[in-house]
Amino acid sequence: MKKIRILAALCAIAMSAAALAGCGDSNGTSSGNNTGDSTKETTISFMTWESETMNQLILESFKKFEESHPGVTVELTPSPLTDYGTKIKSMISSKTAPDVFMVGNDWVIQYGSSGNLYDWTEKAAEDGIEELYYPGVVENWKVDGKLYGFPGLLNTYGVFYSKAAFDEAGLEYPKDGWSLEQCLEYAEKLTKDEGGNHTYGLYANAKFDPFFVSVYAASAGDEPFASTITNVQSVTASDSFKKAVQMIGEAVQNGYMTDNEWNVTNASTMFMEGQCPMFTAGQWFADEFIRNAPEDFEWGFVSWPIAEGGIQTSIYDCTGWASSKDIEDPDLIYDMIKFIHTEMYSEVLPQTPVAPPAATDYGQAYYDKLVEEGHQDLVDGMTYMLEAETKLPIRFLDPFASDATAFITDGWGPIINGTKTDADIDAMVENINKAISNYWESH
Amino acid sequence: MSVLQSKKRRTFIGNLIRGIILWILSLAMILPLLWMITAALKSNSSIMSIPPEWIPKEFHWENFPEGLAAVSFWPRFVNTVFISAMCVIGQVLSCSVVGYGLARIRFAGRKFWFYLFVGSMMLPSMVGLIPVYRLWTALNALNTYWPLILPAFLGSPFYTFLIRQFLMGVPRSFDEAAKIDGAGHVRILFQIIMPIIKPAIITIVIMQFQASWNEYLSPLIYLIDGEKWTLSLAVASYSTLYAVEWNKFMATDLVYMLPTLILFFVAQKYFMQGLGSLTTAGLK
Repeated sequence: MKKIRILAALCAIAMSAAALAGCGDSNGTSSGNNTGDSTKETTISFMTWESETMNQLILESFKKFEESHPGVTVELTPSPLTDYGTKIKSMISSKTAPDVFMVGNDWVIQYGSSGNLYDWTEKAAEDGIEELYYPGVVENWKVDGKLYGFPGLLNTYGVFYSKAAFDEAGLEYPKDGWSLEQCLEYAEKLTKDEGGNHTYGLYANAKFDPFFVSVYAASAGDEPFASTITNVQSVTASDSFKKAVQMIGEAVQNGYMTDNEWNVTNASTMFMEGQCPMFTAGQWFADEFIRNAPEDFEWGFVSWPIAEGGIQTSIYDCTGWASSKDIEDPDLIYDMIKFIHTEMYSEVLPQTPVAPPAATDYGQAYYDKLVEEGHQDLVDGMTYMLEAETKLPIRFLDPFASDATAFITDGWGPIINGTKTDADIDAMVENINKAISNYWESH
Repeated sequence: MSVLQSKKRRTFIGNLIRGIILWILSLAMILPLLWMITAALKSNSSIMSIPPEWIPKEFHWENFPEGLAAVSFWPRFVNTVFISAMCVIGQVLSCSVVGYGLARIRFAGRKFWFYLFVGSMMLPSMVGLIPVYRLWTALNALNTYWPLILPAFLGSPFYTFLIRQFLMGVPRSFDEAAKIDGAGHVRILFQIIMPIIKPAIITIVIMQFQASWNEYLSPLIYLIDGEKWTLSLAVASYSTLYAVEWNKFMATDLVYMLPTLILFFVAQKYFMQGLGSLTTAGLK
């Protein structure tokens, strides 16, 4: 009996050791020198936060890249979106980051300025790659003139609307370039109180925070809240900005639109069920509406409202790709990043139509898919916003972001809900400016 | 009304109020679970319909196989079982030894070490995240299970505290009788003490299994290859920047949480006894 026990214990230890040994590091990041040597085996590692379904499509697309680069294997490192930032931070700090990884614009600025990312400036200039992208986009991926990453997908924000609600109220469908005044007037007309239920005319899923209100100010020719996307030196609350805040506050107070605290996970379902006449959101909701909305539910999309007769202005929001400074074969990695921005997105996006690519000429397949689904309006709205010459940040991207944003988190709700005054806006702006100047003074 | 009747009436009212409060509290716990079950059986478009449907109009049983397949559930289930089992073994062995030493063996600085263990519980784990990550990188152990399993064999302050506290309530006469029969510390621990402290050990088993099963951050940063992923990562991958398939997410989540629920229900009697030990001995 005792022998059997000892034998069982030894077997258990042996199995455990075998399992652990079998799970040894077979992956890691590895990029060998492939250029000019077609026989050498090279593995390029890359990491995304996409779903498994999208990752499979991405890998499928990379077969073409592997065919055109003999000896090269692309290996995908998946990661959930939650805590992706922690993962990439750990990897960068220990020099184990994949050769190519997905990033937000703010991370590129943060890790680029600390010297952890590969500087693509020279390569991009040689190749003239900046011309591939929408105007002004690449500029935001630079720190002190050095390019530390490449934009991949752009997000645009507009208003989805229920055609039935507009028909019932006898309103014409809105058109790109419409004004905030018109939007709020429609919200008033679409607001209903029936059977004890209050239906707001406008449901703000994408919030009217200072950056979105800034679209109104800038389009009116006034100073925007933050005048640059990166390297922000100060913020301003211009007269147009305050006017927009007042208009929105009145609409909230009158019950025409949801307040700043409104936030429900079923917002998109409410819209699909015809319970939200207008719904502010990012373009990616279209994918869900196309797949899940009832067949008889007709919806439209229009660009984010600006000032009456104002200049074309939109919000800039972009994710993309970067590499750690330690990559071994920059030429090969560059080819891969270029493949992602061009051919990969052309192939993957029609199957998961979530966002337009930042490279202008490679979004056609995505737009064609949307038109095929009957949504030329979505393509028009996105194009209108992407081509806007004035683009404003969706949030602070500079390293002072958390300090400055704390004042918005604390003070903005009552301001936009119409319960505070212009003096409160000025106080918030002053506090933010102090946080910004403190940062720049110490750096 | 007699005194007895009055007392019975007061007891009845007290029980009624207690019952109502417990029902309300238990509903707060159970409703999310019921919502998960109903969401797992609906189409994605009808999950959040208003008013909410508690009983689906159509039952979409296919959400379960499709949801599990979408995140390669079963290979990752095996990975998670392996890691969780190893961590449980590691914690039980290491914490029993240390807890026994602190409770039964007199040595210089015993109290100091005990307070150091207890005090280390106050240290947020995030503090050591980057240095420990760099250590494992230096040891070339990234993308292996070592960083997830080996720390369990080095003990946990809370479980050590639990064992030590439980042992404070076990009479020393057991040890002394064994010593008279010639047993050393190892034999006393494994043959005499461990069967007596079974409730504390089962409490550790349940708590550690649940902790390892649900651990997210460590697998996220240490496991690179998707094939080595644990279920917590696989399930989290449902939540992406864009559209989420909530019905499959909930179906997968339900299957994911079953093992911990089963373990708890099977061993809950011992679990209560184990936690109860914390009240039987002070910080002596």
